[in-house]
Amino acid sequence: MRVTLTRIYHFAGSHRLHSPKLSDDANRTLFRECNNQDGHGHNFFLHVTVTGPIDRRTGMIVNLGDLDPAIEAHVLRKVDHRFYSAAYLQLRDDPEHPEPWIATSENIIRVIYPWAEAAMPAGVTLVRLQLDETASNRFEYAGEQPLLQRSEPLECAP
Amino acid sequence: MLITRVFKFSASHRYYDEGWSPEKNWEVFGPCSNRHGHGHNYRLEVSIQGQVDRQTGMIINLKDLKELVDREVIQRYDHRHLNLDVGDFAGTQPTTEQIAVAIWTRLQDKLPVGELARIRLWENDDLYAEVSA
Repeated sequence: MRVTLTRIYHFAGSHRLHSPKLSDDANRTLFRECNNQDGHGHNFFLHVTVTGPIDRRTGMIVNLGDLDPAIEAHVLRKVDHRFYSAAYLQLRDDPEHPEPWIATSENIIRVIYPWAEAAMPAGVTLVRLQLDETASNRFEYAGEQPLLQRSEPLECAP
Repeated sequence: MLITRVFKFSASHRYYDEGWSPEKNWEVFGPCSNRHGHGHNYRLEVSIQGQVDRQTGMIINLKDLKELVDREVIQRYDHRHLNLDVGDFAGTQPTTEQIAVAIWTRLQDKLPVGELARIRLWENDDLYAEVSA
């Protein structure tokens, strides 16, 4: 028997899907309305699924009084009301072969994942993240395509 | 193949450890330790895994599943105080995790056909616990 707990958080942000390697026409063809010059935004919902032993005394895998502020500090503070394209967030994937940063939800969830891992209180393990970009588009990720180099947003970098 | 049926119940609970001071309870549980408890509208998703029966075209007759969950869970928990009216949480707290585990334990070996694959218990629209085999 495996027990997990999932907490859903909200943040809002904007992005523009655009590759500097492609022509303007190719960008429009590939990314369509998401290539809009000045970007666009979403209400994102982030599902954080964790596991660990249930403490007999508290009945809890994790106390939300510990998890909520940790996710706030490690994740939400860095992404809420931000623009994810341009230089603010970067995907530090392979320094030898840098690719342009495309702020898709697939890439945003890959950047966020190690932050969420770092937010885990003692004895708690991150199982999966799910990022709902809209009610129609959702992305699930369990760390299977990790970044080679950890990424931090510009203004929050240590 | 999985089939999932959704159930609802409303119940109250309180997180409080009698071995701790009221201050310590507040520190650990916050407003969940309030004396008279508080309540939620729980949403329970029960997923059954199995073979599709050739005669009925079903994994499980949903009428049977509904009767089972109604008897084992809904009639016990709905419009009850989970600490005071239900014996399942002695020595621990009726958290989302523990309620999900208790429901799993109650249903696990009682299905007429198929296997209990997963239950997901929503306490609120931003919190759920999931138990799987």
